[in-house]
Amino acid sequence: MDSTRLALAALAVPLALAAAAPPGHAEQARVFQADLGPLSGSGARGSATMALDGDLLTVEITTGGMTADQPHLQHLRFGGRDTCPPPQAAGDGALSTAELVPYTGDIQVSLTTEGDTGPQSALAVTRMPAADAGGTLSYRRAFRVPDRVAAALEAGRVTIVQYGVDVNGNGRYDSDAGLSDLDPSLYAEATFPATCGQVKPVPQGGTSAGEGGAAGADPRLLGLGALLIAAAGGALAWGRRLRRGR
Amino acid sequence: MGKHSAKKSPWPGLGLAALAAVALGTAGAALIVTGLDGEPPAPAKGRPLARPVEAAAPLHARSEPVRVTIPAIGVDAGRLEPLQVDADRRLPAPRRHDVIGWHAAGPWPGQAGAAVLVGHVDSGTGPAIFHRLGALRPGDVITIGRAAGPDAVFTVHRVERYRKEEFPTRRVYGPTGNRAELRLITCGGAFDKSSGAYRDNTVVYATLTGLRRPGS
Repeated sequence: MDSTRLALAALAVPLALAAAAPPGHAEQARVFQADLGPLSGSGARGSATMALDGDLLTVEITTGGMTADQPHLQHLRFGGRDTCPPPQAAGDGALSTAELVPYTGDIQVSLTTEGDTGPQSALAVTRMPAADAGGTLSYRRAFRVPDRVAAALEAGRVTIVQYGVDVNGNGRYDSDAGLSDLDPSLYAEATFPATCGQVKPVPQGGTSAGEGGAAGADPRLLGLGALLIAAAGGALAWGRRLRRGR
Repeated sequence: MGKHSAKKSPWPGLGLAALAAVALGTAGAALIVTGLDGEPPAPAKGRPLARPVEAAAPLHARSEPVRVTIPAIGVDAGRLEPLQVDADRRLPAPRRHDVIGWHAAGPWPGQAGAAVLVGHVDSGTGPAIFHRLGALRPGDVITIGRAAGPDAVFTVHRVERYRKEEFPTRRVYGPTGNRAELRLITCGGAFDKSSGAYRDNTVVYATLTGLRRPGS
């Protein structure tokens, strides 16, 4: 192998890696999407996409309008009515987690940034993502989930809930709204639900969007082709006449 | 000398005639082959973008897409049809051949994730709104006008074609690295007369690269 070939081969390795998900072979991965709408008048809004490969769940969430520079708890829930709560679910003011549970069910997965992702990490504030200075929260992680979580995702029963609403608008969580009904060591503002989204399976496969009307022979092209070939015949005849005239 | 040149003079004419005959014949044959084939434009193979597309930050607010312009293939559609998946979880095509449909239950154009538009490649009688979708190339621009807020400008970074039974669901609809992406889907490849459907899907991948105030 000469040096040029070696260089080409070296180049080909990263190129092959870049094309790690080659098209043209069927995939078993399942994909889910969620639209995250505001709760508790948070005004926050976002979207989430997930992919499940076996028991490996990849989760991506982007939410805007979250309390800036503050951590936000986020969970996957199911085991209730398995829908996001309607606006009237909040008794007075911000929605409490107690008012949320009948709709979304219990915490099944904690969407932490590292370590454990079980329900026991539900209040692990230090391992939850924080919104940036502009109030955008961007989360991406892949982790293993139990079968029942995979089954609930497949059945469209899962909701995503993100928390943390700066009710008095002073830029941080404080005791103005009291202490959390989840954990008295946290301020209530830190555990007010801020967004909720129903996680739905995406469409399967491609789509049928043609009826073949432009698939058959194109008479205009055929006609033009025939005309050109006739002209070629004419040119030949002209050439023969030139030769005879000689 | 004069005799000589007089004798030679027919040759350039003869050469010209032969050349014209060959050129015309070849062009004619090529047109007939193309005309008989009649497949919609196919994606170009193995042409990566010279430099990667610079993604813009996703939009958070949802705003309904109301206009789609794709200058490279002459598309300017002023109405869209929201699409819902059917019982088989398939995304249907829009009812009309001159209307683009969008997957209303997924991310909306400009939001993080893959927003999906679907259009017909042809009707029973001729080309439809996405007939030339496969002719799009990396770098081409797609602008989505939205009911509220600035237009979302997307740049094509990939055009691919798959057999329908090998449609890569994760690649098309799956995680995008929290980027705001757009997918345009239509039919392509050979038309299977026995099933009355095209064998392939053509998919255009684009990334949100900017915002533009309407009219600017």
